[in-house]
Order: sequence, then C-alpha cells, then structure tokens
Amino acid sequence: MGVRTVLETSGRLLIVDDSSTIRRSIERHIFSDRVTKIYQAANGREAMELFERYRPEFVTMDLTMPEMDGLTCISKMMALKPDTRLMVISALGDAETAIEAVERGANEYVVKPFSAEDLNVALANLIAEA
Amino acid sequence: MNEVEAPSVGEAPPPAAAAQRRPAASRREPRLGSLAWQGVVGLLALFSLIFMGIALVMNTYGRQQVAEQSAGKLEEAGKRRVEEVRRWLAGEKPLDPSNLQRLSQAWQGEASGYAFLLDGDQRFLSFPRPELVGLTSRGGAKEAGATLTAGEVADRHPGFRPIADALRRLQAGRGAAVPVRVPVRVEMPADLLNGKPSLALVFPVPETGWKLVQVSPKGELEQAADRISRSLLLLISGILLAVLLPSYLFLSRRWITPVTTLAEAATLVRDGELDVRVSVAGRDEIAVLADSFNQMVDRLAANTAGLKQANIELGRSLGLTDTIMEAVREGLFLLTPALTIEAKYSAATRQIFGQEDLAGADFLDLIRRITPERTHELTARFLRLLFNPAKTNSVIAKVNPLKEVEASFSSRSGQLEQKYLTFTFERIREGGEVHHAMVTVADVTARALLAQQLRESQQRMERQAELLLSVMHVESQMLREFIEDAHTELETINALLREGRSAVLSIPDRNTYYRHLADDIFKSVHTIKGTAAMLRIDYFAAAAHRFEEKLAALRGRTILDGSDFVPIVLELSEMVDSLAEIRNVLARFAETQRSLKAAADTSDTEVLSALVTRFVDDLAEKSGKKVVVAFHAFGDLAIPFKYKSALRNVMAQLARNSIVHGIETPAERQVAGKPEEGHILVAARQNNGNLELLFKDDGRGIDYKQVVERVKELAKSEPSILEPLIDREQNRWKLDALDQMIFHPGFSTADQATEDAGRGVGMSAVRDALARLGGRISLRQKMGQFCEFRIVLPNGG
Repeated sequence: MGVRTVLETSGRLLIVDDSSTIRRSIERHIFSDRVTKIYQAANGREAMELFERYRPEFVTMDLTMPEMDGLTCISKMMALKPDTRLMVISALGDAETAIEAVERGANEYVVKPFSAEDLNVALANLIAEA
Repeated sequence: MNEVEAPSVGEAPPPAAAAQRRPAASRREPRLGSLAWQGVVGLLALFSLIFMGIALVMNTYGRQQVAEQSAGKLEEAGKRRVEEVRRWLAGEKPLDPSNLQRLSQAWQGEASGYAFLLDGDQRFLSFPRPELVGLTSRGGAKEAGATLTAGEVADRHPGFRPIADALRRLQAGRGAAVPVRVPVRVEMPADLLNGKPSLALVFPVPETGWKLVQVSPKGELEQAADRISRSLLLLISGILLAVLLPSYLFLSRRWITPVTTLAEAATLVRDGELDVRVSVAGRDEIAVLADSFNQMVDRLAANTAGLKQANIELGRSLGLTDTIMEAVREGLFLLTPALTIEAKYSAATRQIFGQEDLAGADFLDLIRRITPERTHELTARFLRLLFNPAKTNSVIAKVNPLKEVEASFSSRSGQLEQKYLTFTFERIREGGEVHHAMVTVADVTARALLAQQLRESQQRMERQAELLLSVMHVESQMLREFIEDAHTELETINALLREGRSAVLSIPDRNTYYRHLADDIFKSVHTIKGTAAMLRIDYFAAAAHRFEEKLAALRGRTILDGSDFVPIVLELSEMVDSLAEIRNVLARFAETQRSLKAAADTSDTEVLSALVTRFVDDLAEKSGKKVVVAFHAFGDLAIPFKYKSALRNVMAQLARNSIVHGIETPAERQVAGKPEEGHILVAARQNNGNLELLFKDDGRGIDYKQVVERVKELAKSEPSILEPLIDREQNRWKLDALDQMIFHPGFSTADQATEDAGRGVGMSAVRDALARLGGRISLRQKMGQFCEFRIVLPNGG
C-alpha cells in the first residue's frame, strides 16, 4: 500500500443504476481520495459505453436494469478488464443471484434497501482491497 | 581417569540439569602434535625390542663359534692319541698293559685335558687316576677281572654318566643301518676329575674294540661367552621391565583405554543413552575428541529434550483442543479444499448432523442429505468461491447460502425432523492460498420457531384488532344482522358444495352442473363481500374477495370437475372461521358494553353504602342489636378506582368494630338513657383536594379500664409501649394516647375471638391498608357517648 499504490491507481468510479436517487446516494457516500472521477450510467448499454471509454477501476452495479442486465454487464466488464473492482448493489437478495454475481467477478455485494453504514463499509472494502 | 559415566537407572534428569553438568568451558585447548610425540615413545620401544632380538641372535651365534673351535682342538688331540695307541700297539711286543697306563698318564696334564682307554667290554685299560676304576698305579688290574666297566663307574660317580651313555650308544650303534657319527661328542656338566663343565669325545681305536675318550674342560672363552649370554638375557629382561612395560602402560592409558571408552560411549549413544559423557585427561587429540564427543552428545541431548518438550506441549495443546471441542456448544470443524471434514470437530457437530463419525466426511454430501437440491447446488458453488483466494472475506460472508437454512433429518424412529441451522465460514489462509475453512454450525431451531410463533401471534393480534375496530364502528344491530345473513349464505354454499360432491351425473351434465354451482357460490360470496365492505369490516371483505377470485378462476375454465372445488372448500372453512371470530368478538364487545353501562348507572358511593348497609344489617341481627345506618353527602362523590377495594374492607372492619364493641344491646342502652337502636353515620366529602370519610357511632366508646389492662399485659413482653402512654408529671395515663392503642398490632379487647371481632388484627390492619394508599385514620371518642373515625385519603393520588 502506501503512496506508491495511490499514485498508481487513478481511481475512476462508474456507478450503474437505473434509479437516479440510488446513483446520487452512492455518489454522496464516496469519501475516499482514491476516487478522483465519477461516471454514471442508467442502463447496461450506457454502462458498457462508459466502461469501454474510461476503463474505470471501480464499478457499482445494479442487477435489474433495462437494455442489458447487470450480470451480463459484469461478465463483459471482467472480460475487458479483469482487475476491475466491482460492487453489486441489488434488490435481489437471494443467495443464487449473489453467488452468480460473485462467480462472474463481483468483489462486493450490497442488498437494497441498504443503510448508509452498509454502503460505507462495502465501498471502503471495495476501494481498500484494490 | 578414564571412565564412562553410567547412565542413571532411575528417571532421566531434566535436560537443563544434564547441560549444566558439563559446562561449555570444558573445551580444552588442544596441544596438537602431542600424539605424534607419544608415537615416538612407541617407536623407541619397538626399536629397543628389535635391538634386543638382534643381540640375542648374535650372542647365540658367537657361543656356537667358540664351542666349535674348542671341540675342533679336542678332536685333533684325540685323533693324535688314537694314532699313538695304534703305533704303540704295532711296535710293542709283547704288550705290557702298564705301558698303557703310562701313556695315559703322559696324556694327563696337557692343556687339552686328559684321555683314557677302554677295551671292547668297556673295561678301563687306563685312567689318570687308576684307583678310581680298579687299576693299579703301574697299570694292569689289581687282580684279574677287577677293573671296572664304564657303567659301573657311572653308577658310582654320576658325573661320568654322560660318557657311559655315549659308550653304550656307540656299542649299540655297531652294525646299525645308520652308522653313529664318530667321534661321539658328550657334554658333561661336571667332570669326574676336575668337577668342571667339560666336553668329552669318544673315539673308537681302529682294528681293536677299544675306545679312547678324550676329555677336556671347557675353555675360558667358552665360559665367557656363556657369561655374556646370561648377562644379555638379564639385560633384556631388565629393558623389558624398565622400558616396555611403562611404555605399554603409557600407551594403554593414552590411547587404548580412551579410544575403547569412546567406542563404548558411542555405542551407548547409538542405543539412545544420551546421559553418557566421556572424560579423558590431557590435552591431546583424543582428549579433544572426547570433548567434542561430549559436546555433541550434550547438543544431541538438548535437542532431544527440546523435541520431547515440544512433543509434550503438542500433546497438551492437542488435549486442550479436545477439551474445547468437547465443551463448545456449536458445531465446529475444519473443511479441507477437497470439501471433506477434518478429524477434529466439536462434539456438538455430531449432535447437529445426527451422525457419529464425521472425520473425512464429504461436506457437500451432508448438505445434500439435509437440504433441498437447490441449496446443495448453491452450496457447491459457494464453496468454490470460499476456496478461491481472490475473493474477499466480506463478500464471501455476504453470499453464504447457509446463513440460515432449514434442514430436515430423519430421526431414528424414521420421522422427519426439521431444524434451522446457521453456518458461518472463516477462511484460513497460508501463503496466499485458502488451505482450510473453519465452519461453525449452530442449531437455531428454537430461535427460528420462536420468531415464527411471534410472527403468527402478531398477525393474529393485528387481525383481531382490525376486527374489533371494524366491529366497534358498526351499529350493533346491523352487525348482528350481517352476521346472521353471512352465516346463512356460508351455510348455503356449504350445502351446495356437499351436494355437488355427492352428485352422480353424466359428464356433459356434470360440467353444466358444476358451472352452475360455481355461479351460485359466486353470487353468495359476492353478496357477503358487498355487505362486509359496506359495513367496513375490511378483514372479512378481503377474505371474501380472495374467495371470489378463486371462484372467478374456476369459472374461467371450460371443463369443471368436483376436485376443482377443493380449494373453494378450504376457502369456505376459513371464512366460516373468520365469521365465528367476528361473532365471538362482537359477543365480548356487547358484554363489555353491558357491564360498562350498568356501572355507569350506579354511582360509587351508592355501591359502597349499599354494601355497608347490608353488612351492618347482617351483623346487627347476629348480635341481637338494633342499628340504623345513615349516609351523609354521599351522592355524586366519585371514589377513585384504586381505593374501592381497600375502602370496602375498611368500612366492613369499622362497621364490625362498631357493632361488636361500640353499640350496646337495647337493654344496656335503655339503662344508659339512650334510644334502643344504635346509630351509625357514614359521611364523605371532598376537602382541600382530599377525600374525607367519617364513620361515627353512638355506642359506649372505648372502655379505658379494659384498654389499660390490655396495655399492662402487652407491656410484659413489650415494655417500651408504656412510655408514650404515661404522663410522668401528673402520674397518670394519657387518655388520647390510650385511644390510639386500638391501632396497635396485637391489641384486641374482646374477651374471646369470634368471627366478627378479635385476633387483634382488625384496627391495625385498617391503619396499614390506609397507610399503603397514602391515607391515615384518626379516632375521637367520648366514653359512653360516641366513637368517631376519620379517614383522609389523597384524592385521585
């Protein structure tokens, strides 16, 4: 860790969620100086466009979205850039979806509705472990 | 000294002590080369041995040479004399034996010794000293046959024996296959004449049977050689003693014993005796070797002891683990990456899984047996993630499908038993790999069931609360009518369904019949639903709605069968239950309303006064007294609820007290000039925010004489009660203090306890009961006139 790692990681974050409220809520919780730039996408197709253009280090991903579902997004992103730190934020609380997401490469999993505490801890994990 | 310290037979000393026994400082500074020096000593000894050997050989050879030389001279002298004898025999006729003797005598005295002659019979012909052998000095025998034979002389003089033996051998050797070598050489330890060690040569005289014996004492040289030889032997023995023995001892001490000791010690060490130490004196290489050996064994012993200690520690910690595993309440075990359970697991694990031996068991197999197939599949996927070191612990904890899982076990009796289990997985990492997962399992069945019951009871409460709410805002008459109507409708539906089930019809008819049946039931349910909605009994309306929807689904079908109505029957029975519940709630509600209304109709004080009146009448009748009760200002006074029960008891006690002790019999009253019937007045009022109650009778009041007697009696066991009762200055009883004594515990002035008075608990109980409510009671009386109790209670307090 230390200064070197910080300098090596530019810390771009892509927030993918079809709800602007959730996107804003996540944005407000980002305190880390590791995150220098935040992009937002409202659906899977937009998410992939932004991902390919900016190659973010961190992604938060909703699973149920129009255009392209979250699980497909995860697979595509991981295929393009395997070291992406990706957190799933989903209303789907069932174990199967969660396992599926982690199998595809998600590093964190938060179930909606989440508390500020839940989100903070998960975001800290996601960014710190990079 | 050289020694092997024998290992102690008993318990081995602790390793620390063994190490101390040989301090590290024992390492000696080696004096290298000293072993080589010792080798020189050894070589010297060896050389001296060789030298002695050579000396011995040379000495022997010298002695032989000397002996040969003198023997040669003797032989020459002998041969010369044999020639003389031959010449003499040839020249002299007739023979005169005395001449022989002269001849022999002439030979004597020569440096080469003496000689003598014997005839063929070994009889002496001459001898230097004739008398020794029976010869005359002039030669010839003293008498015929008087000369002695060699054998006879040897018998007399043992010194002559070797010559006699040689003569006999020579005689016997004649005519033998192997001729005896002549002259025969005879060694004589002591000669007959000079007594010295001598050498004799026996010559046969040719052409006669005679023998000539030449005797000569051994020469000086010869004797010197012998002496030298003897001293040499002596010297060698001396050297052997003086040099070889010490050097052997030295070498043995320095080399052989230490090396042997080391070898023995090494054998012991090989056999596991680590208590062996070797001590070698000196500073040479062997001593250094011994030191090194000791240090090596020390280190070996220390290492072994360390290993033993570690083994003990390991054993102990394993024992501790076992203890923990037995004691821990949760299932606790380690999972290998191959998803098998490790040998160590807590006793509770066995209980939870209901399986005895879990070591090596396949975890997924266990899960498959107790959970639905889907859970098993998810678990398999989850465990792959668990052992994937790239996944973080936090995300693993979140996707655990066994966080709370319903598991079914078949018990021994074959019944299926439901358990709620909760699994947690902790990863144990080493070198970046997840090499184990620690799994804890807890049986949370009790908790889960409790939670379920709580949920159910909460739902029931919510439903009843809703029912009550719906019922409360409905005009009760309408509600009653609705319940009746709904009940009738449900009965109708039930009857229709029952009919339908027993109907025997052809298939097309049956379809039509069921369709009509569904329509009829739908109409009934719809009516109920409408009424319930209008009356805003929402819960019931919702139930009817569900029923209706099921029926609607039924009506949508083209072909209907009796079995299609099974869910309808279930729904119906639920509605019947709900209706019964409403009816029940309504009944309870009505009951509460009735009692509320009744209570509202009668005031508190009326209830109380009615109670007191009834009580006083009963008592008066029993005691044959006449009593009239009057109530004053009681009307609208509200008595706080919490006082009611206490006041009822207080009033009863006061009334009892009044009738038993206060109010006299009609006869007594007449004597006292009072009206026959006694009077009791009960009054109540609000005063300064307090509730005041007054209870007054016109009886005899308190009889001080009786009170004083009772006080004196009580004072026997409790003297302190007297003090506040006596006015010391005026030396008399304080009357108002005596009044208060009736509230004293244990005070009872009635002569005997009856159902209605006595036992001394009455008035003190009254005071205590009022005190508990924050109130108080006081007494005012006039003997023979009246007795009045005043009760003050904080109002609404």
